[in-house]
Amino acid sequence: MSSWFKPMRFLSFDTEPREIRILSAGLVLSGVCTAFFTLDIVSDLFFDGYIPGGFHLGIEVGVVVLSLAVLVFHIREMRRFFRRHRRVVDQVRVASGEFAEVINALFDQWQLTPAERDVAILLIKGLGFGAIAEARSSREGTVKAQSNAIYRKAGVTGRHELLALFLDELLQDAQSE
Amino acid sequence: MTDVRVWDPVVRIFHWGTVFIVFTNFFLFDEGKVHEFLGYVLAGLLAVRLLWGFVSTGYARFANFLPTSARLRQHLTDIKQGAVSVEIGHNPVGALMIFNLLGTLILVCVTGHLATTDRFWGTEWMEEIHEFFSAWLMISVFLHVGGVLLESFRSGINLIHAMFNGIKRMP
Repeated sequence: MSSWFKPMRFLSFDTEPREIRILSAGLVLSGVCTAFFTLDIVSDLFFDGYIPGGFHLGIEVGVVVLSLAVLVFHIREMRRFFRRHRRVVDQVRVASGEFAEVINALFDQWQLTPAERDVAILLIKGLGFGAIAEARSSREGTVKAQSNAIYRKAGVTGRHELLALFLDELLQDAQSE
Repeated sequence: MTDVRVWDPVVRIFHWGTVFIVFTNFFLFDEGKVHEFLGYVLAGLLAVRLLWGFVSTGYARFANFLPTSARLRQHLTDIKQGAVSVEIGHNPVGALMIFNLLGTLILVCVTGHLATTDRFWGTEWMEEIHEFFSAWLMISVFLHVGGVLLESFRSGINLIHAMFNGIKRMP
């Protein structure tokens, strides 16, 4: 993110996706144009001695009035966009946080040891026994033994049923929304 | 009851600005410096509104309320059969009037400006064309207001209020 956009932070967003950059650029551009035309009207009236009336000033006044409307519209749309964006981000954060809590709660319930918890997470993530052994720098035989302990404590017959348990939790959450 | 945000500030300010200028120029100052100045302000408003019709999104965009013959026919049969088809933006017949009004406003502005130029100095016919389009504009305004009232009663949505705060309260 280039640093010249930093002042836009007053609009309160913590991420800067493409849409926000485009909106901000458009806002700056229309703001500059409106300011230019407004200054031009002022200078015409007070410094160049234009008489109010006539082609030049008339059209300019019309354009400035609606440009201001465009600016107002733009700022309001941006605010609305940020608010919506923030809400969605928060919701995703809450949802993923809650799922982590669900996992931890189940692990507590099954009274897994710290080592078994690690293995269980990796099992859910879909790693093979070899990969898990490598990640935890232990032997494959150890991992297999730990897995069997996990399945026994969870009351399932294997990895598929273990996964099904968590999937069930997720789907329940989705349905109750 | 759902509130739908339909008319953005550009549309609303353009609308009421145009109303103000058209009535002032028609009834209060039918010629002279103020008349000309307000005419040029209207030209400026028109220029931005036309641009907005191409660059904006949503209900202000021309492409989103083009009155195609299929949509027009559908709407007219609905009216005949007493069925209420709820349109969020312009209804097809209303849209036809919008394009008529915008076109007439452009013609009024252009002929009005031309009448002031040296090219048509001393001739009356450009002013007469200007007056002809102004008369057509006032007839259109009359029909436009009539249509708005009719449609408000028919659909139960207060269309005049929607042009003030931009929000249509859909039943």
